[in-house]
Amino acid sequence: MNTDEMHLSIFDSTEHRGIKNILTRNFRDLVTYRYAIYNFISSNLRARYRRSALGFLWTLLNPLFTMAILAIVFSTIFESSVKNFSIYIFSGLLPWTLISNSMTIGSMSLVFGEGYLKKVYVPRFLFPLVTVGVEVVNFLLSLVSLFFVAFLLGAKISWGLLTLPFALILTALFILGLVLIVSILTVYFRDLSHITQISFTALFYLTPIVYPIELLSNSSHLLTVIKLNPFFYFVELFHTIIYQAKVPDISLWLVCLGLTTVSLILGFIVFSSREKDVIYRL
Amino acid sequence: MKTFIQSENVSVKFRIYHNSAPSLKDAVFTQLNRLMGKKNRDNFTEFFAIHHLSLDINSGDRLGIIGLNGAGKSTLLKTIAGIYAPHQGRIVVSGRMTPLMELGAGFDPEQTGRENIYLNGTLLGFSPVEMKARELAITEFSELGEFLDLPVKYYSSGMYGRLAFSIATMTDPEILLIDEVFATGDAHFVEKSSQRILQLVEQSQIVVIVSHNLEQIKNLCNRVIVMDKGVILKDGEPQEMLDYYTQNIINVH
Repeated sequence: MNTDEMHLSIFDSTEHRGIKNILTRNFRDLVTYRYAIYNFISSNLRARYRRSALGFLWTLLNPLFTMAILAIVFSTIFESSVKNFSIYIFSGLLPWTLISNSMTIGSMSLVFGEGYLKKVYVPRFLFPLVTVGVEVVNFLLSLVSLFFVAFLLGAKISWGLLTLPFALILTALFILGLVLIVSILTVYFRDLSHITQISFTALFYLTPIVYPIELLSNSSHLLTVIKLNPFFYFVELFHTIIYQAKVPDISLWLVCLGLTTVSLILGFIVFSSREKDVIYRL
Repeated sequence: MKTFIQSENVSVKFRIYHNSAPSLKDAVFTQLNRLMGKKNRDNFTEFFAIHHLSLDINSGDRLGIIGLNGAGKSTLLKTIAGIYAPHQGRIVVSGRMTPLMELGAGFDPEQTGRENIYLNGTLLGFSPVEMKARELAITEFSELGEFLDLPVKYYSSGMYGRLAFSIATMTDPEILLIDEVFATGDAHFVEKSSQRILQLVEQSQIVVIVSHNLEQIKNLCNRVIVMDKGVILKDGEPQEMLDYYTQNIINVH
């Protein structure tokens, strides 16, 4: 709070006529409210594990057990080796949890933010952003347990791992764009939060996470459906980097980059065109 | 940089929905009806809470806003604070604002009083380091002692108010926005907080107060506006405005 500039607030009804104005305001808010964002994320994480005996350890144990159960069940079904399959499942489940949790929790983020939005000025994007932020931190914590297990199971370590941060950043930004959209729409149509939840249950099975994609090699219809599912490509990034221990193809990167760009632009347009109206609808 | 609030031709309108929230089904049918060329029956009415309001508030102003219930006073204050976005016109505010409007605004009930000091501070744009420097003053003023380490959901409304008040008043505002000066807690704290309010009004560059307590307005303000139905009826010297208000508005109703 040292510069005078930070204390200038402009609430302009004609702002939507200039993208530059909106970008400037959002950027300024991002800087001013950076501590608030950090505070919301950390208190959110603390609240999740408050009063549980094992506390933060759950962030490591929860994905570990989920993965172990899925690995045992599905490796039995597919008659494949549990050892290998565990790493496969975990490397897909991790980004999937990031995606589906962000979407299902994020869709209600503005609705739950009502208590703040109606009483103090808070940048509206803060709530969707915090949701994604919390899930990214959870992802990183789960990653720790993944590496622990992978190491025990004797997974290969490759240079591909160095591209993991980029895969995470792309996925997080992709999902941020979508959460911006779904959080605004849910304010208008509360039913959407249920629809989102159900959709992601369905999408879970439309993404090769608990089964190998080779399983579908003789069903071209299903394969087409899966390739229309944008989340497939992001999960593939993690499969390639962690499970196959390779650097993903440039084509896969480009598809993800393209999807991320579209999602961010759409998210920005939808969010900034409606965000000022939100307070009147909560 | 100068401290000022500039409101140019601002309008804020509210919709009252006759059926609660529009569901997906309603929205789909509305769109279908529109496509088929059928007219939708309006399920809401609109009214202007603030209508074409222009107002300049400058450094040194202690502005009191008076008017009957529903005149738009609180809406105006919330629009200045940035909570409501204007549907027309614009508001430019230069200076750090501290809203003293609703009890426990920006509190997380699950977090302790101490954690809420930081949460609230960061929402006002302060860094944790800046709040650390104020923590002692806040905790001392609030006199909450060991309760500060209890989640605020266990607080009584008096304790809640004390904490909220202490935080808001220890953040050296340049612009102070006060809605219905809340005096909460026991007699001792009420006395202490009214003194603190007086002190703050002295220190702040701009103070905007919404109140039904005309005595308080007279004591604190050097300028008063009278509002009715979203517009400013009169703007001027406190005594003159208060007389006008009691004679022409209160007595007429």
